[in-house]
Amino acid sequence: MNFATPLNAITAVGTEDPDSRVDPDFIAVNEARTGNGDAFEALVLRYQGKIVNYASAMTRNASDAEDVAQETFVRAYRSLHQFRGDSSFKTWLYRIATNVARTHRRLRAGQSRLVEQSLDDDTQALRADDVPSGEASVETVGILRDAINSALAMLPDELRVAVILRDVEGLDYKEIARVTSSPIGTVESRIFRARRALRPLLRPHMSAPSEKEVDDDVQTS
Amino acid sequence: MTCKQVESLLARAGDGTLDRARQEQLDTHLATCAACREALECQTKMWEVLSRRPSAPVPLGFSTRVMASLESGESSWMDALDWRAWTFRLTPVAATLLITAFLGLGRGSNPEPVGAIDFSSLVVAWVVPESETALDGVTVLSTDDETDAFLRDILRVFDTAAVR
Repeated sequence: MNFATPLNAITAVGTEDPDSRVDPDFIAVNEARTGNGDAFEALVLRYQGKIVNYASAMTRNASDAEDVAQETFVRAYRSLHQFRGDSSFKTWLYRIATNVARTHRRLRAGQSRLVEQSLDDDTQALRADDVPSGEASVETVGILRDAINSALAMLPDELRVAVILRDVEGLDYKEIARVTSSPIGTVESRIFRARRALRPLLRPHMSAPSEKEVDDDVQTS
Repeated sequence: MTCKQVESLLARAGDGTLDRARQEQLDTHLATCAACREALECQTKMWEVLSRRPSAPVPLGFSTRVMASLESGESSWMDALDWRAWTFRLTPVAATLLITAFLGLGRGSNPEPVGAIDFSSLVVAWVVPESETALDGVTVLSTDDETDAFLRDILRVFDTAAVR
């Protein structure tokens, strides 16, 4: 792997903000641009968890999520010369992932000739008795994640992206505005409407125990 | 403030990121608006549920596959959707069709219609030159590995779609 990127383009990265010069992401990006595959692999390892998780929430399917996540990193690698450092590498990566996930969704819709499942079907999938409330297991964790993914899939695209980035991925409002190229006020409004629309679908899970902690334990064990 | 104006404040208040000044504005409104108090409760609970969503595990060997994909430089599923790639890479095929049509027109008294060539056979002849498929009036001008690989990918996608 080797980039024929002019050196002046490389040195331009991260010069706007003095702090960015010591940002490990910017350093890795600069090294990757010169053909250092290990530097890009370090970026993949650093962000694969976030991007796979984001793709999972956007696609509902583990296989599709991996496709989207892998394509995100491939696109990012091919576009490194376009990364100007105006925003963080993380924000830039999420923007690519959003575009890839949208394209993937359209492709899937076209292939299956199914635009959306009916509200009744998805609401049926979110019955409270589908999610055991007792001891959490790997299966329980997966079911909860699938239930939330199914509910998120019911939302219009703009609302879904905003609420996933905020509530699932934990980006702040300013970062979401950059990822979606939208004003912050628009982001706030979308998140408000998304949560309001999700309430009837996720009502059974409002009092569930903290599954995220259990999930973390499962993954580390 | 109206209930509509309060919406954006409610989103931030729900996840605890509202600054002090706007929190005071919101509190003033909430003191007299039961509907917005209920909306705030909804925002808070939804944030609690969604932020508890278990993270999806990273598939084993994911980074290795990403790097292998970059090393191989193979086309991805998004490349197949890129119309610029299609139009650029299929230029030789289009050129062949044009030349074929031109040769057909040049026969003058030949009553055979110009469009009688089976396009799928033409593509097969292009992708699998070793098959030595005989096509009257068709000359494969040139091939290269990249174009061959690309056309094979396309046929594979069509095959996959047909199976599904």
